[in-house]
Amino acid sequence: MGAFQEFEIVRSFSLPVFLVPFLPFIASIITLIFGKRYFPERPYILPVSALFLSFILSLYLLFEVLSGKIYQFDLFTWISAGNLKVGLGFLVDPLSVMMLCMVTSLSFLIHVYSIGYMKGDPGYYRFFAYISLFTFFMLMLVLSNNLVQLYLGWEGVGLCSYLLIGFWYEKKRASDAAKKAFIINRVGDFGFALGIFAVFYYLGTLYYDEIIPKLSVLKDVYLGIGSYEVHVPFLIAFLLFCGAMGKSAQFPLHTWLPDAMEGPTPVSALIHAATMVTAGVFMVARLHALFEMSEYAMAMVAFVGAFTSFMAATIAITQFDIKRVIAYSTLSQLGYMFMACGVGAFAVGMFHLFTHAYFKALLFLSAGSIIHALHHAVDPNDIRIMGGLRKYMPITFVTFLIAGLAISGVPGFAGFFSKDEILAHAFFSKYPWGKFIWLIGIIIAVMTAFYTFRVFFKAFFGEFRGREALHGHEPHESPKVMTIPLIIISIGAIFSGWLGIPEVLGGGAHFQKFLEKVVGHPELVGVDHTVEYFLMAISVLAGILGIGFAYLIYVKKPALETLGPSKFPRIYRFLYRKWYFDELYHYLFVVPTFWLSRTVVNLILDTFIIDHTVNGSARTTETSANLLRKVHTGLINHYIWFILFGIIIYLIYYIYIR
Amino acid sequence: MDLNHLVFYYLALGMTIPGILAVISRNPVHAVLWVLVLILHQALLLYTLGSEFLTAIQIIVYAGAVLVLFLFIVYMINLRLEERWKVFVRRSGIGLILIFIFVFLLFKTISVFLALVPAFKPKLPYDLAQASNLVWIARYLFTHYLLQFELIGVILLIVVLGAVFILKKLQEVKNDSF
Amino acid sequence: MIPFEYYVYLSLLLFCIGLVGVMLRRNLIILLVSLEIMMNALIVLFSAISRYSNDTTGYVVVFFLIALAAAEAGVGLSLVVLLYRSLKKIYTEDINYYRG
Repeated sequence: MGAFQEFEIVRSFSLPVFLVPFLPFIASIITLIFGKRYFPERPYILPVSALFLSFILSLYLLFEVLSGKIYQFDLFTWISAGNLKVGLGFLVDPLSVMMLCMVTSLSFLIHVYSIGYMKGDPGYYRFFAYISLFTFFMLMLVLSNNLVQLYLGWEGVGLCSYLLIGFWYEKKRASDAAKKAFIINRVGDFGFALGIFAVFYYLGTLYYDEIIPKLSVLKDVYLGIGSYEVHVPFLIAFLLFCGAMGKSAQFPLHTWLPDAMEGPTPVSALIHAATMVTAGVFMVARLHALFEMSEYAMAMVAFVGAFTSFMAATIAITQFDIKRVIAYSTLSQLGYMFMACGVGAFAVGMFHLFTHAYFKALLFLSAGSIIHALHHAVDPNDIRIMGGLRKYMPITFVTFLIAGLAISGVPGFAGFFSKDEILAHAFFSKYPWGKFIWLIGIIIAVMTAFYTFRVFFKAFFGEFRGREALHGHEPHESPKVMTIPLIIISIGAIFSGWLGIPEVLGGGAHFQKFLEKVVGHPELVGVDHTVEYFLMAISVLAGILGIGFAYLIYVKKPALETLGPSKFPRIYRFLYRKWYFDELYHYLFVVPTFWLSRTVVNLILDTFIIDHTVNGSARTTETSANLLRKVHTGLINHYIWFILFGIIIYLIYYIYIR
Repeated sequence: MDLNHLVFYYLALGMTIPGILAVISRNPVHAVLWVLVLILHQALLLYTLGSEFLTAIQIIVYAGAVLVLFLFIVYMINLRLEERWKVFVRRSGIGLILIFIFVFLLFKTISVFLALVPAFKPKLPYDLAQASNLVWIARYLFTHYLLQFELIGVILLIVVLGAVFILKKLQEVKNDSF
Repeated sequence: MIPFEYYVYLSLLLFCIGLVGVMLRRNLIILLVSLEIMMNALIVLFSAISRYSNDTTGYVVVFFLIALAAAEAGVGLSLVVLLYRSLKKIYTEDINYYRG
């Protein structure tokens, strides 16, 4: 990579890099095999300590990269066929080391949190085995130095996501959600695999450091499909982006993420908010040069992101399940990241990914803390039975507030800096759709603040409404093992944004500078500072406006709450049923499949063809078995005779006939 | 006929005759002991082929471990004489015919195989006079075949665990007064 | 120097001796012993190939073969002991559960 000139590239094996992913792997395997039998009470010891070591090692690697080193080496050659060579290798550069620190730190804290959250669950050991296996695959994804290994991690995290969504597999809704997530991801991954094939077909290599310099070859390559000429970079970018749409739950493959909330809350926090779903953004940033080659690809990324973000924000306003609201908010924020990528500000997108991981994980874990407190209720996720929890759970109250302020973009908190950077870069983008993206972004910012604080006010203010649902149990603050991780993450949710304070506010934008060498970063040159201050004021105002609306409706005048649904019932129902996407997909894909299987397959194929074939084959088998059982003497020696007989027949064929 | 040939013939006889005796002996103890003779001769043969390391391994692993294990099991089972010697002789006709056909066919194909040998391309040329080929074996084992080497270790581990597990499970079954 | 064919013939001879044992003997222990003889035939062949083509790979294969032979003997003998303990039989014609 051209931009790596100022780095010293280490090409030999490095133990810390190897240990970072493999420690959780070993811990996971040991826990999975021996956990139930030998330490069912404390299966968390190995995964938590492995994750802690990984975290320390990633900090060490961070300092190594900061001092100007890049690790790029292959552990061994994995696949070698013709000129296809794929190794199991590692690449540690600013981009991956940043993801590394984020994944290991959050995973460690969420492991600790789960000690309290999952206590007493029959699958206690299984949970820790799966979640550290997930961490292993995520780290492999992040550390990969070629596309095939990225794909390995990609599928691996998909698998672990499946296992963890369906963790309570005896609940039908959970196992259905797991299947849905897996199947919808297949659609995206199919495109992703095609994209990898296309990269290899056109460029002849799968290593990042060889792909990037070779990209200019594709500049004027077109592929004829029918009567259309498709620009090959756009085609590859589109196929790869299909995978990103599946994994990062962008429209039209977004429907699995809200359902995935059936899994345990720490899983939602780690997998479906902080790490796995951001893999798509990570991939786009990793291959940003490819996307930048085609204007259409950039527009596709930007508009898919903007549409998803807008749609998810509107849906989140109407939902009552606390985790679903946060899930839709995740969708919306992921859309935000893609919007940033789509206007060419990849470093800023990654910055938002980084800050979002902390405050969204915090939001989820605080919600998990509330759910834990209300677990006696039939549906502890329902915000209608909450209320007034401020008194009962002060720590959760504070952490939820911090997360809410961060996501709403209140100055000083992490979300403010990253969101503001995205909006500024959208506004000053060289792409023509930048201004439009900026406008959408502002609208979404209002809605984001509104729905977050809607949940916040409903849960923590007013009177406690869940007395009947709890059968007389009082809600209580969670144990220390859960609140301490919450407090630590809330520090991250405040200060992670301070790493990248933009220059206009007197900061150094260190974060963006750090990533600039890998993903590039458009400078805001010749931009008037007053305009920038003005934009900043608008985005802050948008956040405050949303919070104010929420305060007005849910605290000051609760009567207003029913006003919206009663005035515009149709729109409300449209939003409440999630834009009817589930129903649409049901009628488009599920119903025809069922119809096809019931009528065509069941009636015609089954009765006529298959039944007769089966009965006939059974009869054939019976007669031939009666003949052949005479050969089957059960004597070991005779089996050797048969083997020898086979060899003799082959040799006769080989010598005399061929 | 020089000394090399003499040594080779001696070793070949020292391997085939004990082999035949091992296969036809009635007493398993004798069979195992004949195989021991075979293996010692084979170790010498490996030495003439220029590999002292494999000679040592052959003696240590085969003679020292595997055959001792066999002897141990034979004594443990305590079945000295095979009573069914006659069965062995009576039914051998078809088997022997098959083997003769097999040998005949192999001799036919062996010329193809022999023609291949000069075409083998040495990967790392070495001179036996210069250094022990142990160096080369080690170099190969720890670089090119490292994965396979580790896998062999895993296989041996699994064997140990499997043997222990099989016999332990049996005891459990017995305790349940099966 | 001894011609390469001699080694091939020797190896073939040993292999057939082992084969006769495996095919005709009914005693499980002698069966395993015969398997070891067949394994030794391979060892001779591989080391001869290695010597005559001036390539160490054959020796490495022999190394692996010896290790595998040890593993095979371990598993085989533990199965024999298992059979003997539970059935008191080690003749293959008595152990024919799977007769058709």
